[in-house]
Amino acid sequence: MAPEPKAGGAAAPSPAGPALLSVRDLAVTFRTRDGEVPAVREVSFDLARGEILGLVGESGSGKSTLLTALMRMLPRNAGITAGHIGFDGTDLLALREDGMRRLRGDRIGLIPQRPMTSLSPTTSVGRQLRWHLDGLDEGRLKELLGGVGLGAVLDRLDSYPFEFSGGQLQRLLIAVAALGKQPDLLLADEPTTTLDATVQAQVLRLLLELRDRVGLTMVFVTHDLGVISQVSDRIGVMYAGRLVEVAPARELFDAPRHPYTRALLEAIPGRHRRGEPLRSIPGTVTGANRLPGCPFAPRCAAVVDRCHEENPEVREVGESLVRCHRAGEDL
Amino acid sequence: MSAVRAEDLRKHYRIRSGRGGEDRVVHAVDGVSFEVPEGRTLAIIGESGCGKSTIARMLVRLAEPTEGRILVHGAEGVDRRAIQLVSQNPWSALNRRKSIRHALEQPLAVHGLYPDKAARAARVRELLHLVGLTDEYLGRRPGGVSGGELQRVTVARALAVEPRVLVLDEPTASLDVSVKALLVNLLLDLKRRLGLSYVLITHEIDIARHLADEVAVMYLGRFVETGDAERIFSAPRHPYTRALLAAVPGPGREPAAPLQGEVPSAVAPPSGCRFHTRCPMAVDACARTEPALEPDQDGRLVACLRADELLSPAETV
Repeated sequence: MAPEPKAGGAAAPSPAGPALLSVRDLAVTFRTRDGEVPAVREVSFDLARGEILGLVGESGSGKSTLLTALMRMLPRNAGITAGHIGFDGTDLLALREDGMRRLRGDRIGLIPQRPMTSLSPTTSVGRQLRWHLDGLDEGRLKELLGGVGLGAVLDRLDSYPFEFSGGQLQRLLIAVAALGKQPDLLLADEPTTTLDATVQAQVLRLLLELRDRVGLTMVFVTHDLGVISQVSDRIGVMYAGRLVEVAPARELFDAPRHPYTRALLEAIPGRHRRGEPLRSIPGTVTGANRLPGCPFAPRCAAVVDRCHEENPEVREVGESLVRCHRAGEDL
Repeated sequence: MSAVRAEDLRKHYRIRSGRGGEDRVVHAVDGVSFEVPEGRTLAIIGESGCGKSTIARMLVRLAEPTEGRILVHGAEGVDRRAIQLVSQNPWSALNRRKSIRHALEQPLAVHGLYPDKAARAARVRELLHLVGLTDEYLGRRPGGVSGGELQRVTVARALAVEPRVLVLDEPTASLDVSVKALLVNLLLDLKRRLGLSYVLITHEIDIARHLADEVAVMYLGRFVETGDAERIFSAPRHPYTRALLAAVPGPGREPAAPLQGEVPSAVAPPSGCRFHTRCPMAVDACARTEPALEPDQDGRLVACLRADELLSPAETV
């Protein structure tokens, strides 16, 4: 049974019109031998059509779990324990599995992190394209592959995935997920992490171009602050399962409000003189997603007593939404 | 005397093809020379498959060069202790069934250092403290330690035999941003305190920019540009260096105009300049003539037939 949608919960409203995706107070819990581990807690945000929301966080912050929860493809030992996911007027958590299956791929697409593991190694690439795209004729194929800059592989479609490079496979998957299916919502999980810098630049350009050409709506998950700054309209920062700050991309980099966001930006080498010690964040994230108060409290430079006891509500500061007791103070 | 000197290094791997077919040769490293002055850091940057990790493996003698030689403090292949490796993935570099104490004792035992039990135990603790970890880590196994801490352990292990040069092969690539900073700081600090020289192999341009005194940019087995790090990072000259640096994403920057295509195969590298198939500035001659690394006016070396035309407007004034 799907949990009751809870009303309220200050969300990050999308500025660009009615929301295509609306997430409220979402919680995901993993059952492990050591008991239940909350992986995502009280996450709320809205996403408008044509908008790209970047989710950034370090490993274990819950960003990939959140994406998997949106697809309702969580592993068996994990479950959505609270919250509401609205997608184009449908309550995703109330859908039966067969209804959800009809949405996956066609209306909600996914670009995975490792293209190689998403394709069958023993079937030619051309045949796999036909699996996913019904009634694919030559003209359409040409159009799709040309659209992602892969025109040159048209005569190699009887080759197997291992005969292509990682960048080519990733563009192939983008051709299927974004152009072939034209889903309303595209979810991308670290889609450029395994790619080389010059190939990553190609894929990022391609995604932005597709947004402008076909109006992609996308949630883009990454740990790379540089990448997220280039593709996102708005950015959400995750820490220990919580969305601690959501702000327009420029705003986030120009005026980070949450102490964690600040610390993260200050740790970037490019912001230091060569050979100078980098600012780092003391302590570790281990155990933070079980804490009752603010998960960043044990490492925070601006911590006060109540941070350890009470998880801060979302506050609006300028154009940013921040979960911090001291948001808006001059820290 | 330089800490490390590599002369015309080559490493070719033979791939056996099935019956009847001809063996193919991967030109992983195809004639590179470099020197690392004592106490300095040379960063070798490039994309996957360019051969940078093969250089790392040859430096620590995990792979024998097909041709060329490597001198460490003037001597060839005598003292294995003088140069040690820190690899990318600490999880696979350490035995997960053994304690961290064991990981740090092992190199001492192999090289017969500190034979006295008490002295060896003291040395192990000293190594751990050197990288900022406390005694409580000694009994732990890799599974119970975070990635950043584990990478510190591999640095401590590399330092156990008192090397003068560390080869750092993508030391921060597996670490999160906040942890990365700690490791970079540790490397800066150790270099100063122990007078080490580093060869840093990385695809992370911002890490190279922060740590390196000198830089070598590698493409398909060869260096295309080498020299003073600040000069190259602030005014890259070779078209590949320019494309590589422009591809680094960052706030306030538009995604770079991408290079066409991808790195060609090292089995059959392109004729002439290896970069000509993707180079936005290529002319016909580039497909025929392989450019040598030639000194530029500011002392760097650039391998490009059109190097003279590549000065930025500010430099030609």
